[in-house]
Amino acid sequence: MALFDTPYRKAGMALLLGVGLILPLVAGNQLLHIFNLTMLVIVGALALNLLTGFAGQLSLGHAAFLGVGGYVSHFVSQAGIPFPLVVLAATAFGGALGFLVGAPALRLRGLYIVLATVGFHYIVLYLIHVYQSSGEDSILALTGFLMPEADLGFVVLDSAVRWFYFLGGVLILTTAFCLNLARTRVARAWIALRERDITAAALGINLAVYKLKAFVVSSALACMAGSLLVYYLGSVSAEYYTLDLAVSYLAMVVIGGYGSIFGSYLGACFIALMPFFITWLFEFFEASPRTQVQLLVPSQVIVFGLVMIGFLIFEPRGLIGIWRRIRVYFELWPLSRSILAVRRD
Amino acid sequence: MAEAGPILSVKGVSLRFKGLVALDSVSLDVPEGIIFGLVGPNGAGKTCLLNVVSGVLPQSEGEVFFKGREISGVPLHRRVDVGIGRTFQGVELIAELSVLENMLIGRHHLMTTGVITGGLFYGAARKEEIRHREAVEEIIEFFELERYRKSPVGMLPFGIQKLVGVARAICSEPRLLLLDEVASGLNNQEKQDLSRFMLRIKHTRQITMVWVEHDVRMVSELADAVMVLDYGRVVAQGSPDDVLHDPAVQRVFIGRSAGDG
Repeated sequence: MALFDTPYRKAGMALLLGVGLILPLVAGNQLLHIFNLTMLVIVGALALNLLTGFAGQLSLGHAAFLGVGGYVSHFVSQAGIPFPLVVLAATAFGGALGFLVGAPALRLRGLYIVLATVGFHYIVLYLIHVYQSSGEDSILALTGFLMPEADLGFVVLDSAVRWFYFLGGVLILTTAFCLNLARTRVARAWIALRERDITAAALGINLAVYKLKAFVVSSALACMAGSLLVYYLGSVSAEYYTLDLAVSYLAMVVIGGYGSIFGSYLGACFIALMPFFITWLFEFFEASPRTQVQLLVPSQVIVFGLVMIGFLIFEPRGLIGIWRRIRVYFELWPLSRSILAVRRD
Repeated sequence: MAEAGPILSVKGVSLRFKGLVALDSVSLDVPEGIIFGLVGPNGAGKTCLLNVVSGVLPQSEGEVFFKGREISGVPLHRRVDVGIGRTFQGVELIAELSVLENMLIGRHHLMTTGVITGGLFYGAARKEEIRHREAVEEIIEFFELERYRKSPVGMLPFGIQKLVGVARAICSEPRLLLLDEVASGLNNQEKQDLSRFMLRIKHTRQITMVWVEHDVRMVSELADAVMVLDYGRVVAQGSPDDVLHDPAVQRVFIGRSAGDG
């Protein structure tokens, strides 16, 4: 099945690419920074979507995987190894770690996997703190480490514009990889094991092998995202990798839509951009600095929680489910009655 | 066909769950190329027998031979490699995937694409996907499912879903197909279609079928041999006519008091 099968899709993609190429010329640094962060978040969300969305293995260990990517990058970069190789090393390490984490998780299901990954999260967090405070410098132990500049050899990624193009390329490649995966044998096996594991086994799918594969790929991609993130931010710090972060990645997969690549985009954009949007709302209504200080963070948390609950109750298929319904509505127009009619299956 | 010995041979298989005896030393031989009907009242152990043969449940005693080879130790996910395909009572398709994708899952064990090759979708992975897509198209045509090809299975009528379940099993290219109540819940028209497909599977694909069914009349019309199970025991076995006219079998189906007069 071709990825872009209709002329409209091809045109749409070309348009999107064109906009992407022109965007840095018109957008300011502040906006580009938001875009860059969002792209990094999307890569991370795609990684988790493979494990949780496709293979159905709920994981709260995603922040830990991102953290491992970041700290492995710092460790390897200390040896003066160039940026692309550091990212590759972090990715490979992530794959190996995914294997180690996935192996004991094979015997666990559902909630028990969630608990096991929470355990993994705290183990990693502990190790990160140990690593961070291992140096002589007590300031560094609190603040974290600085990362070297990302030097591609022919160009140094030292501006938001350069990062934008680079991350855009990474995002396109990652997306293409995931889309290809989604239309071939491995993703089909993941979906089968997520939906009906006994049947999947009866159809010849080795459940243990495919769970492990999901852990390995997801973890490798997450560590890659984590590595790029610390290079982009220019520093790596333990306090970034909270359980909250893991929850918000899980939220992206759920809100965006289980097992949908485009859904990961929607979910990641939604979660990543929501804080900016709420800040903008406060500014728009000219809230006093005092109200901002008091209400900004709580309102972000509350909106996040409400959105999560709302999706779980009203739209378990996530944003992608809404999108598909809108599409069906316009395909059937004017025969379809309501855009919001819930399809029962 | 008879010269090669039975394709499936079950010898003294028992299945117990703690105190409950689901199968009590059941033996049967299925010659290659026939439709073997397995009938009996609810809870007689028909599905349990299929589960033992397909590897979902390990038997407590006895042996299962496939083409003369003992397969009890073969894990569930390797049974398709051996050549055993099956359908499930509750259809067990993946509702959100299309007919095409569900059927491609049936070909999983015939394919080799992994994470890296699949993600790059270049060269061998691409060729393999196309080749198996072609094979699936052929089976879609066989079952006349063309118009449903890209529909999510969950949106299809129940009768079509049942057919897709059979089609998926055929996609794994089995030598022995275990059908678990494929006709239940179908209307007459759908049952006729199904009968037609089963005969075509037998004649054009030469696949042996072990077929659990409640509709005794349908079984008597299609099956070449029939076995009746009741409370986990074999009541009768043989040609459909002989078996269904056996007084012991009639007692099982019509009820003891009526049969005893």
